[in-house]
Amino acid sequence: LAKLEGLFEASSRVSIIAMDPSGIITSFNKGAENLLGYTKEEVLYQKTPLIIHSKEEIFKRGEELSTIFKTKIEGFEVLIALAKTGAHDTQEWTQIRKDGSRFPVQLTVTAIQDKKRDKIIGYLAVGMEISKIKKVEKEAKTLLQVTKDQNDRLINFAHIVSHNLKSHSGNFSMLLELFLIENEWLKNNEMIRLLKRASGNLSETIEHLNEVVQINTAMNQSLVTLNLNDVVTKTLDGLSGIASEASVTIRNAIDTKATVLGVPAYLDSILLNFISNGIKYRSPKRKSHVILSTNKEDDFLVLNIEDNGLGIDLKKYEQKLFGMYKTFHHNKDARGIGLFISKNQVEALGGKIKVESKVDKGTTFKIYMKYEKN
Amino acid sequence: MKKIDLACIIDDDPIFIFGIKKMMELVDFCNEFKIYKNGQEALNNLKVILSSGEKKPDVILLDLNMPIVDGWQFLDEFVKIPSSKEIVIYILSSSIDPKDMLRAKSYDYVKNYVIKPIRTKDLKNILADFQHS
Repeated sequence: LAKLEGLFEASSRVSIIAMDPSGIITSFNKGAENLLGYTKEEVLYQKTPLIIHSKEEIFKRGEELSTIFKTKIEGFEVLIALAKTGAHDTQEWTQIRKDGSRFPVQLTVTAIQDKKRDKIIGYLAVGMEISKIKKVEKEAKTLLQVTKDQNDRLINFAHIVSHNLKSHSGNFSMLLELFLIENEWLKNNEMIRLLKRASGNLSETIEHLNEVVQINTAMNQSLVTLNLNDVVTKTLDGLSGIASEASVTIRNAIDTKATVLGVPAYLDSILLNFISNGIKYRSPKRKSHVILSTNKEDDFLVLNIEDNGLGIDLKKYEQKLFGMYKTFHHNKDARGIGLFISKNQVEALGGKIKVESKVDKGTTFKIYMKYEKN
Repeated sequence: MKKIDLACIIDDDPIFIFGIKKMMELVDFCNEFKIYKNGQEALNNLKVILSSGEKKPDVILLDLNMPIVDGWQFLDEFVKIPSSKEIVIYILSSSIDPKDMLRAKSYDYVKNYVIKPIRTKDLKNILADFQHS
């Protein structure tokens, strides 16, 4: 018992208060003195823990417990009602120091039984001050709210972009088309041609923004299991024309049984983008190829898309590679939006993309996608 | 060949109205047209037209995003108006939101969803549709 008493006293930052069955305090450790500002002499055998609890909280909790136990529970009983049934009762409370100041604690109350374990001879309340945790929690909540507000504004903005801007740019291109039908002789006028191009570019940009917006708002779409090889085969069929024209050999070494969790439209777009990139950025110096293969890594199915093309200087460009409107080769078809959209789509599916590349050797994109395990 | 006699355009955008009027002329879309600047104006007028002996429209071209009564509200109300004549509705909207397109499909009398900007070929398609029906 002396050993226990020592332990009791040693916890100077944790309050340990023992009470008899009626609630009168029978032990009050150093930690309790430190945290609550009362001395042992002031409380022992005189007070109940109600002096360190807020009346409102006791009342509120009392009402909750009364509903649970279907009998009136109030005063000191509120603190021990659950412990009495043999359960551990851990709750957050506000405690009040002698000087009236308040602080949050996490309090665990347990019943102390006699040796025969058939009678409760008291209760033990162990309290830990959680001001710091509370403060961090509050900060996190504030931060979450700020983020939520920002996100709401972004969605709003996205809506304006996708809707209002689009109808204006639509009007531009409609009017231009009509103007040219009525004034056909102006078709080759330099300014009209540039106006047409500007209008086309505007529409295209808005279309891209729309695609991006759609990804972020479609995040909650349900994922379906897709056979990767089927989708790849379909994509390769569509690309066979440009591949043979560019004399790029595409080798499909995908595990025919491999499946991934995805949204069909996203997967189509991701595959089309990466494979066509492999063709687009081929090197004129050698016979070009794109090789597709799969492997499993942790919780992901990894699709490797390897080419022997121009390669990317990752030291210079890795940060920007997946950014919007970034292009790295002087390719006239480069739009600088594909990788940005693909990355967002892959991430929306819960995956990620890794890239390995050497200038003038080639590039390998590794697309990590979730799959259903059974 | 069957021809659209009367077409209704419900749209709040004057530039679009200007454009579509020109295009309708160019493709010889219909004999006559009526223009309403929002869903409410359209409902008020169509209620009268459909219950009287007046000439009823063959085709309605409907915008979605409009003040007062928008395209969706118009559709919900329009279905309640009793009519002896089948009227086809085309939604003409800038919205490419898949949710909108899906929602449009849930209305039987919405024949198609056309994304703006509208080209003369879109009107030609609607016309061809009408002639084959």
